[in-house]
Amino acid sequence: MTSESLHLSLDDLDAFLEGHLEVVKLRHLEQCDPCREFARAEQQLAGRLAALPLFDPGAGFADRVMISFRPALAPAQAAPMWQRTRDRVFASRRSLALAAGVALAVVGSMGASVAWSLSHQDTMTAAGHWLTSQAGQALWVTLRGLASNLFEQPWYSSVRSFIGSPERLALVSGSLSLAYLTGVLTLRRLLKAPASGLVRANA
Amino acid sequence: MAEPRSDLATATDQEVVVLARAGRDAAYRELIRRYERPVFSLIYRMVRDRELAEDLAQETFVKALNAIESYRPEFKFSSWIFKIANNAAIDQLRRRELDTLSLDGSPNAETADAVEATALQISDRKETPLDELEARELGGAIEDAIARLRPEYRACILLRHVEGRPYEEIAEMLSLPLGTVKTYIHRARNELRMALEDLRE
Repeated sequence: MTSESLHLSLDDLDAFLEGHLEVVKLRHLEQCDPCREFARAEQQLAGRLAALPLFDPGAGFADRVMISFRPALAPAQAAPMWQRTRDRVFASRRSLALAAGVALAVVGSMGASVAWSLSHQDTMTAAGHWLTSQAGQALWVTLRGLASNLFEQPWYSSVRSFIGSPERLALVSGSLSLAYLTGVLTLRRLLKAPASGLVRANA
Repeated sequence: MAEPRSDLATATDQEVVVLARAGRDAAYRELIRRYERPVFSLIYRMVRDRELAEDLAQETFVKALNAIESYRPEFKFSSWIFKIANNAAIDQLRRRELDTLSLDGSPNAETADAVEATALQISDRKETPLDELEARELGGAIEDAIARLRPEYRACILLRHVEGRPYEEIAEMLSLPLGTVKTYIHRARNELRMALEDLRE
């Protein structure tokens, strides 16, 4: 009865743990010390594993899932941009911490900048004057350069005589405006995102 | 109108899924309520980091609920969500395995001093209240022994003996042959038994 061929196989052991081991194997188990010892140890281990507790995720877990989870809403029902941004920010502790960090950095640097400016008003005024004068000079030099360059062009006198009358000037201006408008509209149409035909990556 | 809670609480997973597909918020919440603890516990025991486990559990539910239309009711909902959860945990462990290379110091370090200087000093990290909570929750001998198992063994043993899933379901969840699952579970049990015996001695 206790011959090696009757020793419990791994499948027998599973059957034993589930409580439906064949009678003949059960009899073997009663008489075979190594098998009994092994089965007892396995049973003890399975019992310890089954008794392990389940853990609770943090409070508000379901709410966080529901905020992050967006069922396929129709475009008309889709939340506005600010709401989606808010949902993304509050989606997890990590995103909230990141947003808080960025906000802190922005507000901190703005505050530091304002404080420094207030305590160095003379420096700021002098820098403002210097920048204004430099910008004015640069603008004047550029304009002069452009104008003299234009006047020196061989086609300048013929263009000037062509748009010499107000009617012709109006015609040229109108044509240029129309061409500009057509260009803008064409670009807008080309850059518009397609309304359909997108496949969801996780579908 | 929201489905009365008593109806939802007694409905089968498949019935709740049908209501969720019809757009009932309460049905989605019921699915979360039923599986948040087992899913979170599985992931937590896999990654052993509470905050990360919460993020991964959240990711699991969001993925599952977003793809609820593609769920096939002939399979158990539990198998489906555990499969997503296990994949999330295993992916995370693989990523972490790559990250841990940096713990050993810069690969460009040529001398022992340089290796030491560039190695991350884990022991210097200050323990946070969250770490203390994790240490309390996962600090038992059996939890430590589970943590030392290979991730594949860990997933199998947790699903089999903590979640009580049958072998066939685990094989389906983990996309592994049935024989492989049985082998993994037996090896995991052997390793756990030995680890616990070592501790006793």
